[in-house]
Amino acid sequence: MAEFEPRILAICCWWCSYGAADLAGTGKMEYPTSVRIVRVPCTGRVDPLHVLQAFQDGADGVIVAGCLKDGCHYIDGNVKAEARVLRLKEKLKAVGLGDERLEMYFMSAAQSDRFVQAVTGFTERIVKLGPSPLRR
Amino acid sequence: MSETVRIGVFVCHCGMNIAKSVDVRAVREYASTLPGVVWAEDNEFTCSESGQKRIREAIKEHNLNRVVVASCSPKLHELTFRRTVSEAGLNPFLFEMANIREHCSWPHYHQREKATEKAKHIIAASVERARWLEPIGKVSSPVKASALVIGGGAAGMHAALSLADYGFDVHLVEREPILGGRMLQLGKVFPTEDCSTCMSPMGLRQHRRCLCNAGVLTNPRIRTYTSSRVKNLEGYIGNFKATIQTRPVFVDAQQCITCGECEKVCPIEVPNQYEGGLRKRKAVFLPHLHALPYSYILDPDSCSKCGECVEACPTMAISLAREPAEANVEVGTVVVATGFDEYEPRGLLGYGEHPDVVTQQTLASMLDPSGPTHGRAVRPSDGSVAKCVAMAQCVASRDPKSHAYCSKICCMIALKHAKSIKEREPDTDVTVFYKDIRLPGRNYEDYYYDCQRLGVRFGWGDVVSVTKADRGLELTVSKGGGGTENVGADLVVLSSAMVPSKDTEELARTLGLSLGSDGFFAELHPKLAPIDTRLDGIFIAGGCQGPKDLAETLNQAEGAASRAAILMAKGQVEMDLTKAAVDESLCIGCANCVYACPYKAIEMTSSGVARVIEVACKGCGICAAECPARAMELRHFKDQQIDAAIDGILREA
Repeated sequence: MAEFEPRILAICCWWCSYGAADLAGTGKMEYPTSVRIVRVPCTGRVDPLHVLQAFQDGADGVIVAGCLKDGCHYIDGNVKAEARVLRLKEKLKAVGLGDERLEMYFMSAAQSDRFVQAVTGFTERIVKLGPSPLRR
Repeated sequence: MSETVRIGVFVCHCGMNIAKSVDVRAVREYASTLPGVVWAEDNEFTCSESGQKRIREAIKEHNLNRVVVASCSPKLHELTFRRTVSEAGLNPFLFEMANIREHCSWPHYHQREKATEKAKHIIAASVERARWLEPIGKVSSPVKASALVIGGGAAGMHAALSLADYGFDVHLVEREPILGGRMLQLGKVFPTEDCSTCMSPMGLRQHRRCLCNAGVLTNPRIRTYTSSRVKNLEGYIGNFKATIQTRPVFVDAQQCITCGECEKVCPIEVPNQYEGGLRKRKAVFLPHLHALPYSYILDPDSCSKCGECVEACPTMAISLAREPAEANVEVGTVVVATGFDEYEPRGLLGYGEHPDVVTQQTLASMLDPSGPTHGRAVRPSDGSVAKCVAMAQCVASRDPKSHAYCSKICCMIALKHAKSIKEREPDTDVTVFYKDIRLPGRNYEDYYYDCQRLGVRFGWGDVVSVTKADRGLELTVSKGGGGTENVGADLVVLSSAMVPSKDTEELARTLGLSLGSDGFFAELHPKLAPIDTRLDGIFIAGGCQGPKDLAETLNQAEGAASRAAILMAKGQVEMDLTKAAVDESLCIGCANCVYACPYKAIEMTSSGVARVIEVACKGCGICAAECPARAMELRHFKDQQIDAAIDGILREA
């Protein structure tokens, strides 16, 4: 059986993680092709319903990636996003999807290495978990 | 969607940058099958003039009302293509970019097949999103023709004078009772070696002027608030409301004739902080020979309220019953120029333990000809002139355990002082212990040669301890590789780090600005917007943004004044309406958005629904995610638009 190829959505904020992903590209730093990036102005814009939409659309895992804790372009949008992600993880656990398929990461626009580590590590985790129960 | 969506997709080869690892033609063919796409083509370089021309032609030929360009990061060319489509008559926000270079062809350059599939996902996301894009208009708002300048040191005074020259009213707020800031305590300043008090705002148009004649206090456009702080700032670019709080000022500067009668009768004596504590002062005193305003001041912290001075004053300028005052001002722009402090190296290298271990700032006071020791470097322990001076560089700077950054100006300060001492007292021994000597400014390297010529010695090594010896002090210098050397000195001068001035954190909270990890105010971009901040209309200048010498400080102050003046001269700001909007019919009046907004850009109307102050909104969308009724939307990143991108990118190609 061929290795399971997950579908991973990375919701990236425009000011930091999107730039970190750009920089990873510029530096030809490799990471799994399963990572698909959608842009938002700030992770504070991310409504839990967007994440649920992604799982409904067949995502095996969702990353929310924002600025460093004290470096949010919009002061504290990333902190608000983190609170929502933590609450949502509990709910995903309760409905049987598990709390490991959603994760929040923090990085500056200069931290391409952090972006690559985050998406690579998360992809490995999802490969181990297997396809989302919603896709089976 | 009232009109039929007609999307054109333009896939860029970017030479080989994309085409090498993505099958551009396969991607174009896939794009042409996506719903809503009526035209798809591929171009060698879509951003080139010929590529942009193709977009404009295709819009006309195929009656396109949405455009997707699949090429590099939108950080590079989103604005380029927005302009292109608007030249062809489309609203610039009916354009969407698919990042198939930075996010695809480059990181996956070894995996052509998979990269091609991923490029299809990315384009599908952009096409889906494009279907839901809406035209975005502009909003404009007036900018008041007055500025608030916070900090009355070199940067603040210079900015205030420039703004007044431009013809704008200025409110200048200074924490201390006198203007001048750190500059007053520098003695002579490099590289021209004039007195720092003469270095205050001048500019070519005014020629050189003394601080006491700088014109800040007499300029009819500048209103100065000394002993004051900005207690509150509300509003947004063009329309700020500031509350300025002034501590009680017990001596009326208008009535004080500086006769000194008050000082004679005052029974209190404390060290004078304006002279490095080298001389005593009374509780009522003249803080500086060049004090601006030129008036005695009364320090309430040391005053015993005996009332002797009140009796002695011949002009009845003193009253101990004065109250704090508050003023509310409305301004269009703000310049923050709150400067830096010298780090107090207590506990380091004998500072605070041995009186003859001082900092460069204290030495600057000594070397000031009008200062407490009349220009001579003396040992504070007995007042004798120092015969052997040792300086230690990089104290609490370039040290990850305290301040990791280079304080930048201490090398020049040390050399300036070493040179002054040798010029005045050639027999005095001066040694500078350093790790690196950094003199990158224009004409600054000359100081190094001057010092060598005058006999200043440079010792490479890190001073690790200063202890009391039989005669004077003994320094232990680490020479690297485990070797140490012991050196005697009778005056040790520490070149201590430059740190943000003490109220920086509080002011950052009041203004809503962010600080860097070093504690200084953060600029919007280190190269492209070094004077701007995260808040439109608020600018930073001088030492509050990081260690700087006077030349750089005045440069930046001029820049900040100019940035503020541009806004005020235009008289209004225009911005894209990529901002939050409320659907009043859905709003339940919970006010969650009001509390969540980091910019105070949402208010509740009298009818109990939320209202967005569009000029203050920065477009983060936090409110939209917090809204439990989905009544709040962020234009250009509406729920539908984000969901469409997610649907598109997760779809199997």
